[in-house]
Amino acid sequence: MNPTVFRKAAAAGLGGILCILAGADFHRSRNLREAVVAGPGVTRIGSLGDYLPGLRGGINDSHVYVLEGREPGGSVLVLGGTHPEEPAGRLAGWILAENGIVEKGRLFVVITANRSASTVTRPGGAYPPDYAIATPWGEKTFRMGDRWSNPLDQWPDPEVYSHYPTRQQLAYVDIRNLNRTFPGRPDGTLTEKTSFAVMELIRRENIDIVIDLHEAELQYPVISAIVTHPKGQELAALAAMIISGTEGFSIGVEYSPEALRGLSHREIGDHSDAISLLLEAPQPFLDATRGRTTRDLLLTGRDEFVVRAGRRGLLFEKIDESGWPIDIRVGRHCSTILSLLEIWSEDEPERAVVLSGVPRYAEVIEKGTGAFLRDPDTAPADRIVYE
Amino acid sequence: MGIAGAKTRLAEGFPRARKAEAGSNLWRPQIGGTTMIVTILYYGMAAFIAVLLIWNFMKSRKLQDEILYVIVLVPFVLRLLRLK
Repeated sequence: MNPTVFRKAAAAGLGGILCILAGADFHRSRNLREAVVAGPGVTRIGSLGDYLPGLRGGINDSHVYVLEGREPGGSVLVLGGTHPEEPAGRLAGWILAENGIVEKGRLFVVITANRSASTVTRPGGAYPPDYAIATPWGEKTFRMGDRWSNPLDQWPDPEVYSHYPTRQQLAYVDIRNLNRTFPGRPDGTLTEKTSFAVMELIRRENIDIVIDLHEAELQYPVISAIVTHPKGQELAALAAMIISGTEGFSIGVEYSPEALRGLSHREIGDHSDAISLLLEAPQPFLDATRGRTTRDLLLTGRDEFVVRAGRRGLLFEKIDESGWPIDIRVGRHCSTILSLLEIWSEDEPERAVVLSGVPRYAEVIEKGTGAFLRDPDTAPADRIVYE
Repeated sequence: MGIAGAKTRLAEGFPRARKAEAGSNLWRPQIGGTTMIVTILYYGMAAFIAVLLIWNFMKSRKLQDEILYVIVLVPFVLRLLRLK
């Protein structure tokens, strides 16, 4: 064989192998099926496309799990997966959908608000493509995601992102950040449409409270907190006091700044009747000072370099060698949601939302997150949907 | 302040939101087709660059350069195949 032909064939073969291996991994990750076993409290399953036809059938036509009580009352929306790289939010949503029973009022749960973002990981971030939670019946695998919608679904980014409708200029990449595109618009980008669909859900269903579940790096000052719109200050403050005194962990209150636009805790409150709250739990996996970005770090929150940063006073939350396990982060979200509903229901009995069947912080830590995930292999087929 | 003391404040209730102003331009439809045209153009540019890389690969006479062209080509191929 001609040496030149052989050389080019070898180089092309190398490229082909890289494409095949990488492409297969990306395809598998993007199409990983995550089963949700709708719990006894789920009375119907809708989707965001029900509120914006432009999303119907597309990547962000995310499921909306509706839990309706026998008695009329208020309505609460819990959003998980606004940032799928923050798994505690999705996992808490999973627990609500698979275990929650509403006795009064209605609970709407979106497990993966930005499904597109759950199908991609951070470029250059070396994220694992997925992670697994141990359950009594085996391991359940979930997609790891990113903060921003997948460029396969929304591309290219502009040079500067001009937020609608305020025209505030934000980082170009945040045009794909669901938590920077609220209130959204019906004919905008995929991410803006998703925000708009969530807003339409809130308006049409007369949602009283929206709780957006997140995690944050320890070097970020807004952490271990309830971020609240001005309408929710009393609710958030009382919840923080009660949680910190009775649940076994501390949580603070941060006020939604008017100067930064597009966030759920600001725009949902401004453009609807709902009280908008955002919960932050610590996630060392996101810290810039971290070491190797592994599944172990994601699930245990243990990292010696983040600990060192803490010793040098560079962090806004404590961390030691025990890390921040996923069970603690999920448990915090569960207890905070339950406390918010209890306080709200006591003050607004006509608009109460009474929820049971969901574990609190101590129980999630004791039994593990996986103890509250249902086995799809033993569930009735008509109760199984895929995220 | 204990829980009992804190809860007495609840008697004041939580403030309600203001409704979105009627007649606001919040829901004014935007131009949607432009986004699709720009996306198509970008895929076209990606294909053009991929072709350039393949052309340079074929013209190259050094293994090091050929390997470089192939490695640079990989993300463009993955984008055109809509894998990454």
